[in-house]
Amino acid sequence: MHGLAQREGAISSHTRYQKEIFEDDRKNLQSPLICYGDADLYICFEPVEALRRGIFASNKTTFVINTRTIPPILITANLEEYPSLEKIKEILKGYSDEVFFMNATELSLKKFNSNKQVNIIMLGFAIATGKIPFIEIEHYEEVIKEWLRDPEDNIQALQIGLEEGIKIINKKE
Amino acid sequence: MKFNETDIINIVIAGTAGQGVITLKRLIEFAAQKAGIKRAFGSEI
Repeated sequence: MHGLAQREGAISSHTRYQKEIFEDDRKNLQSPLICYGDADLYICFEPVEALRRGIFASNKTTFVINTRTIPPILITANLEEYPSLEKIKEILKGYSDEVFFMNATELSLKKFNSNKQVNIIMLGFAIATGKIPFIEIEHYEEVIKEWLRDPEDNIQALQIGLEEGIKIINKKE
Repeated sequence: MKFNETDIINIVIAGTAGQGVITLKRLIEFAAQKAGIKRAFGSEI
């Protein structure tokens, strides 16, 4: 365990997978931590959190970012200034051209009258980038039905995130 | 971008406490199991 964060404290996680493995195990996925610069995808629920984890990004990274800000303690204490979304985008563009924003919190509030579905909307957005290969929507839906509360809302949230995500990504191209 | 089946896929999920970061990490891992992914690791920082 690396640390504990109370509400509004920074949290990050690494997820790594390999669909098929080589016979030579030395070529296979061995460690739970991503190497610096090796992330394929960032899913960020808060803009500044993307910057905090920048060390894992490189030119192969795609960023999907929720635009709703949650000011960290140094900002609320007036010791630092929250950077603008434009500034955040400019910094992230230094890593990669694939930087996409969505106001998932607003979408969740509008559709579900709650912000509980933000993470699932962001998952749909992330799937739309094509950077989570070999896992189909049906697999997520099965897990949602088995493990999450309000599965119908969450499956709907996944679809909304996917549809909105495709629109945002296509707009760029 | 096209991935090969033997490629290692690396995903960072970042947010603040209470936003569902770990829930999403586990959801992807469980879905990966359903999809027959041979190897999946993760860490929570």
